[in-house]
Amino acid sequence: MSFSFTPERRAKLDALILRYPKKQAALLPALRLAEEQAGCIDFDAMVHIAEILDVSPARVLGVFSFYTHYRRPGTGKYLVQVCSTLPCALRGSDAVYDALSSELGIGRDETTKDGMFTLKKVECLASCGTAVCLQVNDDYIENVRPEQVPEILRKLRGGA
Amino acid sequence: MPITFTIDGRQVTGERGETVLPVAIRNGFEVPYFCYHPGLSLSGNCRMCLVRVTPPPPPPPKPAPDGSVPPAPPPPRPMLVIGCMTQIADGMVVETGTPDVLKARQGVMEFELINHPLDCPTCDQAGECYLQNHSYDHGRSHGRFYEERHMKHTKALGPNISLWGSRCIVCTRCVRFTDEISGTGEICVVNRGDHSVVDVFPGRPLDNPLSMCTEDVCPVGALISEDFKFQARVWFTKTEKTLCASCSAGCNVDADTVREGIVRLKPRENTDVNDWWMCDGGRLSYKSQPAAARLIQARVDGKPATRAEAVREAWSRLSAAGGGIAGLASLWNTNEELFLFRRLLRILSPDADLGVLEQAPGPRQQFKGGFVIQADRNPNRGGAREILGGSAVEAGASAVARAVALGKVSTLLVINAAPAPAPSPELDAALEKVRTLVMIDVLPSPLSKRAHILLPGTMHWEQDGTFVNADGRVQRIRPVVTAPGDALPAMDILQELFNQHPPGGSGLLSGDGVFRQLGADVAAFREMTYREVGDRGIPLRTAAAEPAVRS
Repeated sequence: MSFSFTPERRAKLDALILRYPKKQAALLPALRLAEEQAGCIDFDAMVHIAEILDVSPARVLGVFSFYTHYRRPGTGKYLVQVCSTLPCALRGSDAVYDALSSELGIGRDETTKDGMFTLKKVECLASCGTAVCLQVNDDYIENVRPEQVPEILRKLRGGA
Repeated sequence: MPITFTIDGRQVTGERGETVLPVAIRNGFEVPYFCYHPGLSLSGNCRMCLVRVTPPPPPPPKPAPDGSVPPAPPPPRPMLVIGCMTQIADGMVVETGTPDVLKARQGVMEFELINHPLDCPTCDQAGECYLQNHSYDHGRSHGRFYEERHMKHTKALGPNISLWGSRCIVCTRCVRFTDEISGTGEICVVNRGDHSVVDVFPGRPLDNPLSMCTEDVCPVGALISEDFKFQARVWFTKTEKTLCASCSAGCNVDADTVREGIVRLKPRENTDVNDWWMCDGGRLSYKSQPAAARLIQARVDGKPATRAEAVREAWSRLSAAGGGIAGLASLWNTNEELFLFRRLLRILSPDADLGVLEQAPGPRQQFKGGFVIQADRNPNRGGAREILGGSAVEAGASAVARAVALGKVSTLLVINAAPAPAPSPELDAALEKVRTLVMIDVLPSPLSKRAHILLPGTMHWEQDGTFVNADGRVQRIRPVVTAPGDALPAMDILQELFNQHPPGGSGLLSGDGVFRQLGADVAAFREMTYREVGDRGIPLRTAAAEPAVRS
C-alpha cells in the first residue's frame, strides 16, 4: 500500500513550504496533511513526505514519534481523548475515564475490536473553564459527567 | 584576535567563536561530557559538562553630561552553564570543580543512570565506557531511584552494528554522524522523554560504508560492532598505532590485539588525514588474510629450505644472471623495502627494468563530511613513484613483461606484501620464459607457485615501515603482531641478500636506519627520520621546502 498526496493536498503543501525559510521546516504540517488524507500516518506516508521535503525517512519517523498527537495506524474511527490535568481531574475526569473504559471494554491507548473507538488520557486540552473536557477527533465535548458517557457513545455509534 | 580568559585561575586563550569545553580539554582540564564530539556539531543535550561561569564585568558607566556618575551596575553573578555551548569571552572566569558544579554533575549522572540496565559484566563497552568512567569519577555510589526501569529494544540496526536500546543515553552522536559525516541519515531518535531511544526507519537499515564509526562515537554500550561483539574485554587488549592499507587514503588506526591476534581496528584521530573516521571495509580488512593460509616456509626449487640456505641460493642465482635481470615490487611494500629493492637491483644490473604489481582500483567514494575512500586500493603508490620513478609505476608490470618476452631477462626478483593480483596474460606468458624467479611473498598465488626460490615475507601488520598516501603524506606502520613461521619482513630479507654482496656484512639496519639511508638518497624524503614522521605523519619534501626539523 503506497501513499501519495492528492493533487489538491500536494498543492497545499507546496504553498505551505513557501512560508518557511527551508522546506524541511514544513515537516509538521506535511504530516498533518497526510493524516487528514489517510486518517492516520503510516510508514509509506513518511517515506513520501521525506522524498518531498528532502530529508531522510528516519528523520520523519523521529519527529512523528516525538509527537503523541499524530494518529498511528490502527487508531479507531473515533479517537476519544480524556483530559486528565488538574482542573478536569478536580471535576472528576478519572470517573469519566473509568466510565468510558468500562463502557467500551478497553484500557488506555487501546482500540475496540470493531475499530470504532480508541481511548486516550491526555494532558490539558485548554478548556479548563468547561471541565471535564473530552476531545473526540476534532471536536470538544464539554462539562462531561460520568453518567453522560453511555449517551455520548450511543450518539457517536449512531452517527457512524 | 585570540580571546583570553581563566579556567580554574589559569589564564587560557581561544579563538573567537570557540566554546569553553574544547578550550578546557585542549588545556588539560578535566571536564566530563557525553554528547560533545570534536568531529560533530554541538548538541548540548547531555548536560554533563556543566561548569561555573562568571561573565566578564560590564564596562564602568560613563559620566552623565552633568558630571554625575551613575551607579555602577551590579557585578555579574556566576552561573552553571554547559561548557560545550558557552561561547568564550575576554575576561570570563570559568570554574570546573566548585562544590555546586560537582553536585550538579552528580545529579546529571544520577539521571543518566535512571534507566540504565547496569549490565557492564556482559557489555562490550565496559572498560572504555563514558558512563563507567564518569560514574566512578562524578557519580554517587548508589541510586535513589526505585521505580521500574524502562527497557528498550535490542536489535540489529544494520549488518555491522547492533543496538542495545536500554544502554542508550540519547546523546545523538550517532544521529549527527549519519546526518553530517556519512550523509546517509539512517539513524533517528524515536519517541520522547524517557522512552526515547535511537532507531532506524523500518526497512532502511544502517548500511553505509562508514556505519561502524557510529560504534566509535557511541560513548556507551548502546551501539556495538557485530565484529567485536563478545570477542574480548578491552582491558586485555594491547594497542599499537599503525595505518590501514586498504586504500591510498592511509587512515590512521589503532590496532587492538589479544594474544598475538588482531581483534579490531579503530580509527585514530588525525585531522590531516582521516579526522576521526575510517571505512567499514578498512576496519574489517584485518580478517581478509587468514594466518593459516600464509606462506611460512622458505623453498628452493619447490623443496623446503632454511631461510639462510634460500637467501644464499637466491644471491648466487641473482648474481649469476649478469645483465639479464629485472624486478617487480608491489605497491603494498613500504618505502624502506622499495628503496632496498631498487638498490639491490641497481647493484646487480644498473639498467634493470623495474615494475610494480598492484591491486585493481575500486570505486572512489566521498562522503558529506569530506571523508574519502580512494579508488586506488594500494597504500604506497606515492612512495613507489618517488623511489622507483613515476614511469615505472605507471607502466605496472608491462615493461618488465616485455623485457622478458624479448629474451632480455632471464632472472626476475619479485617482492610482494599483499594478496598478489592474478598476473596479466602478457606477464603470465613472459613468466614461462623466466629461468629464475626469486620471490618474497605472503600468500599462495599463481605467481608464488612459479617461484624457484620463495622467501616468506610479512604483511603490513607485522613490520616497521612507512607508506606515502594519496596526499603525499609519509606515515608510519608498526608491527602489531608477530609474523608466522619463517616469515620475515622483506626489508630484512633484502638486507640479508645485500649482505651476500662482497665484501659482505652481517648487520641488519632497523626500519629507521633504512629510512635514514632513503632520506639521504631520495630528495622527497630528504633528512627524514621516524622521529620526525611521528604518529601523525609529515608531507613529502617539495623541491623548495626545507625540512622542519634537522636531526
